[in-house]
Amino acid sequence: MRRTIAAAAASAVAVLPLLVSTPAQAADDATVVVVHGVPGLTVDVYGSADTTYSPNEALLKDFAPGTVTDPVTLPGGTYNLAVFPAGDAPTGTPAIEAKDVTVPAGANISVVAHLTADGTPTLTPYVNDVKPVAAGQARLVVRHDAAAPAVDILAGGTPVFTGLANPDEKTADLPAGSVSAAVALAGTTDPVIGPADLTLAEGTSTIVYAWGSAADGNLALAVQTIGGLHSAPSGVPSGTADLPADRTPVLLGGVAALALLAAATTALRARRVGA
Amino acid sequence: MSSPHPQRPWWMATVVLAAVGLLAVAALTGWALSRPGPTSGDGTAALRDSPSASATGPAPTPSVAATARPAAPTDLAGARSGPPPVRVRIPALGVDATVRPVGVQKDGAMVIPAAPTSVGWYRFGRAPGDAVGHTVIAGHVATQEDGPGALAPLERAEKGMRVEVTTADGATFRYTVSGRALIHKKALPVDEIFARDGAPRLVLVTCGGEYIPALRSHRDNVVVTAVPVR
Repeated sequence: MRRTIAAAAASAVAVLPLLVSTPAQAADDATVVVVHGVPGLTVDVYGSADTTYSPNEALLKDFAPGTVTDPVTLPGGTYNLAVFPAGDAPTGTPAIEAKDVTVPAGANISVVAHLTADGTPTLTPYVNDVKPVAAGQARLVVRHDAAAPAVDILAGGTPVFTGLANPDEKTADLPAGSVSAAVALAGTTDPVIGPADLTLAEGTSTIVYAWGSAADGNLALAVQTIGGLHSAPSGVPSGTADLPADRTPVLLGGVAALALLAAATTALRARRVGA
Repeated sequence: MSSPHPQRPWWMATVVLAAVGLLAVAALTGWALSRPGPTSGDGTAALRDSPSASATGPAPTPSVAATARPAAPTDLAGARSGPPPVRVRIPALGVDATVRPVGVQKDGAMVIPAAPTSVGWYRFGRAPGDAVGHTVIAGHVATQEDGPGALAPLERAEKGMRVEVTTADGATFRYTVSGRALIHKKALPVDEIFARDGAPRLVLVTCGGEYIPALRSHRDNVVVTAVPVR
């Protein structure tokens, strides 16, 4: 396994910091999450300014397959990243290495260590869509990071995304709620992964990674969520009829008018009688 | 020769009638003065309050070391809100309504329960027990089918009135009205009303202002803001 991973080294692009010396301005920081989708190997991840790595440059220890890191906030910049089997000294040729990785300021990125369709380990960065979703909606993103042919994604047994191939992604904004999600080979409805119940929380993005290897029978799902994408409802339509009119002013006004009119009449009469 | 003062009964009637008339005018004036104004207290200002300093931690600083966590689909539920509100009361206005959770209509507006005696809590927003953000409860002022709604008296809400919200777990949250505002629907500050961060607030919304029969709708929303009683 280590040999196959080492073979992957070059193709990478990736992330993770190094030389984070200054506290960054939040607005310009990039947010980075790392996803481990290579079966069978627990790793340590190192970051460095050069291509030699030392123990104190460890970013992640004992990073197990099928896990997702919490978001790491980094200033935009250029980083180097290396992956070594867990516990090994960070010397020699890394299992996976990504050099001169540019992290744009303000970006939200997920870097996924995974197998290509033919089973070669690689690193793929995805830029996450963090535009707000409409009120009541949730975003679902599915990424094919497994050593498997193109797949269809089923929700409640019905295909919602079709023909998704490694390492592509598909996305849709759906009403918030629970869906029963499954992965089937393209053109079929017989699940190769799942079904699994997914809670699509309102105002969040749920990113589902299909990872593992079909040949080895270890296909699985990993899930990342991004919150805070909610929008407010457009309005509060809280009335379809007018309140019954308040009769008080009509009543009082009528009484006043009648009484004053009558008073005027009687005053005239009194004058006439007195004259 | 009859009475030496034949005009006296007429004068007395005049005086009595004039007095009645003036009393009615005075009552009318009093009624007009007692009408609730378009705003009370500080309107919706409390919606823009930030959480107290103690509630906000230090700004997160970039960290080099990341923390890995399991990513099983079951971890997805995310942070849950507190228990939903089931009842809202404003004793001074005689408001006592059952509350049920509601979402969003097809057109993007908040769902309002059809029966005006029942009011809706925006379930995607915050709940009374949450440390930050606004709990939004809204109800019809009236419907053609059922007449006045439970929140119709909101137009008379005044600063300082007590509001009690009971949640599904039986807890009662107490608030004090900090303001009331009449806001044109097209200018309703929805981002402020439905904010999920900022200081915890209760926002009660119904309709008010001029009724436009052609649209079967009021021109304005009545927005009452209340702050938690510590």
